[in-house]
Amino acid sequence: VKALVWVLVLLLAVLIEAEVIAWCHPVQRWLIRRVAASLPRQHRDRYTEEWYRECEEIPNGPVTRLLWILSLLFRRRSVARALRQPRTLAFRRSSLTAEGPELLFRTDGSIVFTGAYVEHRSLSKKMYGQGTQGVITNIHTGPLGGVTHVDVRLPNGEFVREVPVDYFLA
Amino acid sequence: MEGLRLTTPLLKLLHVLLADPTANYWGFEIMKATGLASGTVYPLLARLEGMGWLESGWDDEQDISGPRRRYYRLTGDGVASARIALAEANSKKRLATSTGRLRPAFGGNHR
Repeated sequence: VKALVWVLVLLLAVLIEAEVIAWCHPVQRWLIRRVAASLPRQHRDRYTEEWYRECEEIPNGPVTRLLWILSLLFRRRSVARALRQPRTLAFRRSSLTAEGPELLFRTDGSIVFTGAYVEHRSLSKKMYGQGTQGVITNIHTGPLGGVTHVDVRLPNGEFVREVPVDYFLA
Repeated sequence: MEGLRLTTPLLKLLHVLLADPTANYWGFEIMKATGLASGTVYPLLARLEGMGWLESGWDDEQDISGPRRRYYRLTGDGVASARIALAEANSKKRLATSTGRLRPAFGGNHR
């Protein structure tokens, strides 16, 4: 009789496990739809599809996937807030120190090339090596308002126009 | 850029994205690389995409039915801005290290 009870318990456990696993997928998708429902309407379909796929590709089991979704569920208002924000136009440099990059890109500020820069001209090209120093004479900003290029005057009086800021960053 | 604070999760995210600025990353890959939870990564991705630092698109090349994977990539302005942000964070860290911190004097009265 004891053995029979054990067999029945095992059988029941296997059935419950199969039932739980079968329910996992729809529950996960329902939760994802709940999270997406809190987003602005125009973003819901996109994030639903994106998160369905992400969730499917999580390599571990249903508990890991559930935790992944719960993390989203708890922070759904942050996602919604980020999506509701108007598109921002520029990187606003906050309270920078004197060592900060804001002063790196000011007119008449000294600047050093942190990488070799090749200026292509109509018939030739000229290279300015790493460590070349100069003074900023003009600052160019991109469509987003951030500094993208600068004009530089070298110590010999030569001007280098529209150098991408990438060449001055570490 | 209203409201974007240089938090540790943001800096981790930018660091990962800048490791290969031309590469496409998808959400779970970013989570693995940064060690951040989904509830932290997605608000940041949404914020950065809204600011024009990131662009995203569907992976339509995969021959798999069902939901598609969404890829994220830094834009040209995003690369420059992310580098500036990391430089700013580093300069703040250096400044904090060099000035040290004020600590309360324990032990009370000096006689």
